[in-house]
Amino acid sequence: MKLNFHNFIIFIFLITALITGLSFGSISLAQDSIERISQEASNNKVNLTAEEKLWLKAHPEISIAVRHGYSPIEFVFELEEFRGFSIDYLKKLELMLGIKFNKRMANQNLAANDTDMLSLVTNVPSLEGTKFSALETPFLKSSIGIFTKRAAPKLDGINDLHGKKVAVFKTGFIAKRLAEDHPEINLYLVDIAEEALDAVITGKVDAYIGNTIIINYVLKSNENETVAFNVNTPYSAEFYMAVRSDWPILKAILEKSLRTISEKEHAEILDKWTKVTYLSKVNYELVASIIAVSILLLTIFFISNRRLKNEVKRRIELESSLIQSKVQAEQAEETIRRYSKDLERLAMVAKHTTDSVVITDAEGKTLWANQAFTRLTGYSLEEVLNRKPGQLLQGKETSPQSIQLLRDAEKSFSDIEIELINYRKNGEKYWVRLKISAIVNAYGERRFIAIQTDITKQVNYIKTIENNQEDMDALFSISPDGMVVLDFDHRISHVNAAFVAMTGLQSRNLVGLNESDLDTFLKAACTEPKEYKSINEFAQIADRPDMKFRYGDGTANHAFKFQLQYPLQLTLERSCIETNQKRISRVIYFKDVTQRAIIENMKSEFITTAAHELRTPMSVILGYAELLKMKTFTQDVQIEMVEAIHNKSELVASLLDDLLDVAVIEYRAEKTLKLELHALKPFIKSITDTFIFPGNDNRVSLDSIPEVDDFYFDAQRFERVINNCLTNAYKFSPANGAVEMRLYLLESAVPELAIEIQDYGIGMNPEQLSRIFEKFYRADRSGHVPGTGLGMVLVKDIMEAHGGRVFVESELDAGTKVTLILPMRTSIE
Amino acid sequence: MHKVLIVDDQADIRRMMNIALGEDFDLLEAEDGLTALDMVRQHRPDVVLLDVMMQGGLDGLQVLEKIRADPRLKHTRVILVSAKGQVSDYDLGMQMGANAYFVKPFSPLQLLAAINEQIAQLKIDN
Repeated sequence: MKLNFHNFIIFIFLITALITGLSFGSISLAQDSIERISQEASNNKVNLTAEEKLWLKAHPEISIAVRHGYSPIEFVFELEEFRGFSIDYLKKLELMLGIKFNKRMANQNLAANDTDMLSLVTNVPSLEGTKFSALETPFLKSSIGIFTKRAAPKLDGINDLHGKKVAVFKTGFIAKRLAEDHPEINLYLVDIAEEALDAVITGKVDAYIGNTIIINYVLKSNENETVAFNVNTPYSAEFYMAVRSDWPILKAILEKSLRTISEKEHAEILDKWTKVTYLSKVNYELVASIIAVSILLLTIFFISNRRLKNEVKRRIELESSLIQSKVQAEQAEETIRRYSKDLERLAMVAKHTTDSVVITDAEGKTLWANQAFTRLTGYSLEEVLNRKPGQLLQGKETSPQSIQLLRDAEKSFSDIEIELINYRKNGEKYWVRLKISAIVNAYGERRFIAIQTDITKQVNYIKTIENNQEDMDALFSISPDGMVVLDFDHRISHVNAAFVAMTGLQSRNLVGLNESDLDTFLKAACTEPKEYKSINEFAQIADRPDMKFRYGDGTANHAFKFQLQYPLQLTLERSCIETNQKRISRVIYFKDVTQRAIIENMKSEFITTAAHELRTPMSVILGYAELLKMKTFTQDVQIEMVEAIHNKSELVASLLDDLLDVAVIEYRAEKTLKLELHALKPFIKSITDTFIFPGNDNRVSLDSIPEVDDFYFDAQRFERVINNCLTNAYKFSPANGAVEMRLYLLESAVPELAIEIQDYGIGMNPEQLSRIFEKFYRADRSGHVPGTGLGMVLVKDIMEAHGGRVFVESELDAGTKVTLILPMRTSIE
Repeated sequence: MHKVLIVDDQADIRRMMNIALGEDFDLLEAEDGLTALDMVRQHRPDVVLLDVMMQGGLDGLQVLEKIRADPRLKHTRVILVSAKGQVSDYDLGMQMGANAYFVKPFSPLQLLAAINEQIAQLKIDN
């Protein structure tokens, strides 16, 4: 292989830049550690029985579902590789047992996975009744720690947080345990770790309690220096694997194997994922673009690594003035070897990149530019050499602020990322994202590497979206119905305010996600999660022509109703519209039908109650009337029949009164009252004198009526209140039970009249008592005691309409006391 | 005379049926489901007039279910007399083995005719 000097300089420069680029994101030793762990693991011997060995031989490959997004416990790296704690343990197990785990992305509903194993279970009881059962030995245990601002004083323990505000995961067990064990702590519930860290930083909360391993990892990967571990709590979290329940033998083998893993090995895995920041922090764009400069060179380098190594060594020796030390070169080489796998992947990425790359000196004068630069700008390398690219590319529409920022960055020799308008050689305008990194090369010289990405299309697209977004926002924000809009890619592109208000799900947490993610959120908030159906699931059961209807130029499904438990108890009705539009694939509507559902419920209760309460007396009335008309009876029987008709007609009439009154009072309130001045004494007298309850000869016993001035009340309605209370008192008293009525005055700003109505009857238990003001609730469900279950509702409504109150005290088998309190208003405004 | 058992927890209704049917049948009365079932087993009425919503113990449909489950009572004709008047209530009652379904309020003379019809059917079956 021949390298001319020019190429070689670039090559050296490239390696240096590469190292610099990689070290931007403090390199992990991940690959290395894996190898080390693997070698040691192979030395482990598990004591397997003959039967177990045979079983393993018969099952050399075992499928396992791995979850994503649980960094660092387990996650998917770069969309293609599983990594994390559990993966390292699986690798160990593979070596120990000579089997292979075929990893698959897990279904979020763990029980629904059709694999032989699950690699990560945090909530063991949730597996109950599924095909999986968790191992008894956790592969990882993490303390639950308290995190505060680094500057915060050191805590002694969790008790120091009493009276403080603490962030915890909404769904985790810690929130539950803290609420039980430390009710003195004010919990601030969050969805994601970043939200909690943010709350700590802004001082919204005093601390964040959570899984130490995970939080430390998040802190490191976010380069968050403000928040730090403070002290441990007594709690801990365990992570388990799970196996098909019908494979107890594999479970036994794995338990055994996990227990065989030594403390040292555990510590190594722990170290690997806790002490090291992850490779994803590498500045890929930079690295990728550098590779793009001489992709060919690199490829050859990897293929003929050995030859190149010698070449490098020789050159290094020869050009020792160029390279500061041989050690450095070896380090570079070692790093490259270590990362060759990652680089291969990066090389793949670079192949497809169209980014242009320019390298300049510290004054910004071009030393080198790649072909993509020529393609993008129209300027050749010769045209741009020794000139500032900006002078060629910037034009009249380029923002002067952007140019100033670029100059400042050049002066201060610092990195900058900026979006601005550039011009091609032919005068054509385009938008570019310019990313400039300031680096020092191996000779201590200052260089800028500038990567340009043409973003004209994106900018134009965003502009159209923004324009439309404004229209949409205006429309959606005034809609009382919740709306979720999916874009052409079936991702959530818009969520309106009504939806946020209904579900508490924030727009920023939803936009960009799939419809299935939305389903997961909603399902979790449902009263009956099992009954929640996604649009597709519902479409399957509702896939009949009559379940669909046309709407505009789209097809819509009939409404699906479900009940939310959290954050509000709501009944929502979901419908959706599919469109053929370019940007919107589907609009999902959520209508709050809670009020309607309550009314529907009431209606059906009413139909049942009214059916019994009205149809039964009507049977007697209709029956006797018909018999009297068609047949002849003795006089005695005739009289009995007519009396029955009369009694039952009265009952029906009073039931109808109740119903109408409830309806009127509902539509409420003081407006419907006829407030007039009345004298108290004659009013009460007329009621107690005339009140007769069939089957009880005892009259109401009334001690005295206080002397008061006339005051305002609706006499007809208030009479109904007292009548209803008296009727109840008699209804639930034994044959000759006494009913007492007491009146007295209460001292307050507006003097109040208190009326107690007391019986010594069957009384009510606390459950019955607590439901007494519910519509259609009847303590006696037998139908023996007639009534609609509206009497006390009416009492309460009328009292409240008067600005009064009602209290009921009751004891089973001892009796009930109702106290009515009525303000005595001597004037009305 | 054919035996007819009236099952209803409301005395008013039982009395009204008594006046309407007393001349034509040998009447028995029960005010709850358990008593009704006992009387069906003991007295073997030809026709049972069965209320559906009753307090405590068994409701009408449960009584019906038990009658239909007992092979010795297979000839017993059951007429449901219910305050529940929706089509679904009717369908459920008939599905569970009722021979006829009356919704309250009902015509006592039509009920009389229906009982006679059931007795005629009973004779054909035998």
